Amino acid sequence: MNEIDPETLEIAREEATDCLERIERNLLALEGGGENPDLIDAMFRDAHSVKGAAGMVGWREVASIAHGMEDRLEQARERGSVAAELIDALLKATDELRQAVDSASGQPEKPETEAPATPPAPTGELHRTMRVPAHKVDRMLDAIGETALHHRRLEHIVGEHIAIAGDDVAEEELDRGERLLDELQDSVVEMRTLPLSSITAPFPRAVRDLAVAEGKEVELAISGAETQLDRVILEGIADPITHLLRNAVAHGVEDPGQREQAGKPRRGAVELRAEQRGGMVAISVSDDGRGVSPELLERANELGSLAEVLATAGFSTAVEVDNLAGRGVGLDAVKSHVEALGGSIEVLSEPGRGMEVVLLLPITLALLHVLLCERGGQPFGVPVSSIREIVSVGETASLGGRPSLEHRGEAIPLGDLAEMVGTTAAALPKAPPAMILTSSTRAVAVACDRLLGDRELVVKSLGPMLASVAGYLGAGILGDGRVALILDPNRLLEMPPLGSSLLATSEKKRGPKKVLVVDDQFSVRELQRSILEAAGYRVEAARHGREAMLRLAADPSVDIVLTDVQMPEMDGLELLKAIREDPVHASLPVVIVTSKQGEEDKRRGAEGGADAYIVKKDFNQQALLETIARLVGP
Amino acid sequence: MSGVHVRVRAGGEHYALPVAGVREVATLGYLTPVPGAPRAVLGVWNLRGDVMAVIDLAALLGLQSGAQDRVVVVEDRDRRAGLAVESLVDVGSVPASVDPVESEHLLGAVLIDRTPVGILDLGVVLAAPSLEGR
Repeated sequence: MNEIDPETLEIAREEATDCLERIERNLLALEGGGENPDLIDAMFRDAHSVKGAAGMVGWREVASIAHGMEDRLEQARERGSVAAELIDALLKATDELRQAVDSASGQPEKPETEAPATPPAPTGELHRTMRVPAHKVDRMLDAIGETALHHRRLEHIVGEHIAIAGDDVAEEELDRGERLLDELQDSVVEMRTLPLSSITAPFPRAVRDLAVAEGKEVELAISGAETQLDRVILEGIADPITHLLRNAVAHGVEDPGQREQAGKPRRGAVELRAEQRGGMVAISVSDDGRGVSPELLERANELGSLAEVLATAGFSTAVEVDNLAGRGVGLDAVKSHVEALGGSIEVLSEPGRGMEVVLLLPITLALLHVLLCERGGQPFGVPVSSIREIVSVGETASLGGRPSLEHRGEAIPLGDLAEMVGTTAAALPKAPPAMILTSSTRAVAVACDRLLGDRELVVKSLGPMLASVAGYLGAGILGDGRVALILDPNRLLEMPPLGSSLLATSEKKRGPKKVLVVDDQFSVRELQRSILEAAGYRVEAARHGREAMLRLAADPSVDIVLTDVQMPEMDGLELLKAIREDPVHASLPVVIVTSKQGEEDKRRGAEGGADAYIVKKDFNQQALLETIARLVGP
Repeated sequence: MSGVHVRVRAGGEHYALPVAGVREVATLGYLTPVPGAPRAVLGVWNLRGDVMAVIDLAALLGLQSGAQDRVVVVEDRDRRAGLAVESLVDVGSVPASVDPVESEHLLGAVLIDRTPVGILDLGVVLAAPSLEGR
């Protein structure tokens, strides 16, 4: 009653899996490129290997399917080509084999021949790879993080002693300790990173199957698959990448006929590319399909970025919403997923030419290289990967009523870190240092009191109680035991800088009146925007009450608010209440627009101090413009 | 509800915490404020390598907070936080029968040495929703 030892089974399973992956890849290559006797040979050999391995460990079902596959490939080898139907059949057989291998390796059958009664003697061979459960590596990394922290504390304490006594030996030992720790940290972090290729295996097949189902011709190219990423991040992005690939095929690439008409090759090109960019890894999914419409691109320019516009739930570039997630709906989920991993998302598109979605991800989650800066006596960490440059703020200018900084011929909005995170602090020193943070679409300069230098920090979560507080990646513990909040650079980039304290006195020249449109529906916002802009108003938009309050805080020049009632995060009546309770905006005119004609809403609106009330059913351009003109003038 | 409780002073009043939920009592050290956090959150601090939120118990209960220098580290399932209080009164058992009170944070109140003592519901105190409003 001897079982085959688990290690042998594992080896057989891995070998079979590798062979099946290769077979699948070759089948897809054949489908794309016609005849290739070498590929057929290679597949035949792999099918044979699977059969052999299965026989050895007693997986009868696997052996029999592999045998059938081998027969078919033998015939193909004689003919020198593989028919399209055969490719389909062989792909199906690969799937069956995979399932059979999985179920067989879960509960191994008894081999036909009796296994030797004694366990095989150790071969004495040196294994070059070692399998270690992931959590053990995680635990090790945690422990090293703590050790590094301990070392920094020690350095802090002993440092004072060294300064007084001039103890060279102690100083040398401390330095040595730090070098050793760095080395240890690097090697464990490296242990936890894996190449992107560890998750790309299913992609070619997924793309191919979807293309066939959609009646499209698509070729997937993968480059930079050797790029290394933290295991946890890799696990987190497999689904988002699959989603982006599906989007590219379903919504990006046109039908072969349409492509020919547009002067493009029938076969669409979808590319998955990974590359390291500083401390981050950029993973992009691009296609040469229809891209987004020029109108959408224009709106994106106004609202900030294409990623933001597309991630607005309910938006899709596909004309008809099908059973597949539309580009926008899915992108929303992808965006939040990537942000949860400490990354960001960028979307580039040229109408008619294609689209590219770039996921920028940190290489590792455990350690973060940050620049420490101080504002109001409090230390903050900013990921070094997002800082383009450090400058000293000399003269500031005003742009659109906000302070800005001229840097290399570019006007960069300038903000005070204290105001940007929502706290107060004493005035900034003269010529304060500022960090210029950039994404591919935005730049912002963030001023602080002073810079404390860069550190590798172990990123700790702020915990479930503070999970809802936005703007932080986490916290790190400094050498002196203080906790430094680590700022989320994406939030700083998103937030329009306030920086009223940075400008002496800016007499605002009043142009046309500014309306803040608040509605969770993109189409409604844009409809109101176009009506108001056509009438000569300037328009700002927000998706819900909370965003509206942020806009108001950032832009004191808003003259009137036009808001929907039903919205996520903070509804229109809550917004009204918040405005009335805010000393700065208490007297701001607010117009409520709602689809509900209920008396209750009207009553609540009036109690909260709405200046006007428009029911969507009676909504017409004239009524809207008259109401606004009555309240703030043209 | 009976059993050993840790009694603390917050906002000039007395409150009791079930000893099973109390991990330790420490002296309040350097706190890092968290801009954007609910008002009752004083900040985060470092307790032997752990980053933990410290809550102003008096402010959470809607009271005027006095000078706080002790932190009671409390735990309820996966949630953990420090409750900043004015002082530690004592550790002892509280009567089994409590009078109902109208406060979402309290399980009830008892009289000890003629002083009313509110029995805190740690599950509610540590739940984020009750910390809303800034």
